[in-house]
Amino acid sequence: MSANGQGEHLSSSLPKITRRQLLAGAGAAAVAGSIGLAQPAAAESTMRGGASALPVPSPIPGGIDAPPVGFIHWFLPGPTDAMTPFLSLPGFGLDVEPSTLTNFKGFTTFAVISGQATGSDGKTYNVEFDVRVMDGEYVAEDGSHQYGTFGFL
Amino acid sequence: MFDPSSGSQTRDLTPGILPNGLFWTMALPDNAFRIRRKGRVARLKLRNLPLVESFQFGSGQAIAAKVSMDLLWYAAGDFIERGEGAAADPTSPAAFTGHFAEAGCAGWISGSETGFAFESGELTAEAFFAEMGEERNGVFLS
Repeated sequence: MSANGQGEHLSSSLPKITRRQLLAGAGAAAVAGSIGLAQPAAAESTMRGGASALPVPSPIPGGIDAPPVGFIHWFLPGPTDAMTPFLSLPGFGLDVEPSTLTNFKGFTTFAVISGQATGSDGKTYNVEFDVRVMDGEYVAEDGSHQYGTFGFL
Repeated sequence: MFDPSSGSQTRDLTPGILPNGLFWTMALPDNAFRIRRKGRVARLKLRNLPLVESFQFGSGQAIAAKVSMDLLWYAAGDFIERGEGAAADPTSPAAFTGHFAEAGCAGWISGSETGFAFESGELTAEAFFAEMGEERNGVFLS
């Protein structure tokens, strides 16, 4: 419960959900309706010139096992005699896929950048970031051809 | 981020992993990335991009965070053919074909989350490796 500057409790302006509504199992729909997220009759009804998103790309088929996460669709380009400064990951070589998207044609940048950062706690930290950008055409998971810019961060 | 005294990882900011396995990859805002000089210069500028903070790789924890960054790539050599294309097994790291130039990369990154924020000094790729170029993989190899 919060109050505005005029001493009025803002909670009194929120829609009321009754206990009966929740117990009747209509609570989810009632809550969704009360906060403007009513179930659409069809997918198109939500797209009123508002939210949109690029179709999901597919990951490269290859990758490595990375405990405790498991298999990750990722390779690390870089000289095999070099290691990242803080994670100490060895480069996999130079003929190594930098993109994390498959079915992709376009421009890719890759870098492992490192240095130091200052935290709000006053401490200095070592930082290492693997940053990539894939910009171009891709065939999405749904089979559609798309153009987009994706970042691996 | 790593504690310099212990070397322990203290922060791990990523876009997460999609159900289809797409790893730490997300769509970027329009106009965040620019390529110049026939692919020899590229710049990534992000402001308050939402990410997930999991503190350590694979921790299972997740809180909201955001990052900003301004990074510049610049080709440091000639574009060289890379990858083995369709001749490689699709799961091979070489299953792509492209023309890449070794590159320099420099810039800064800052971030914030509940209870913590950070700002980097200049970050560079000097300690490891960077590259940039055109490539194709998957169905675009046939």
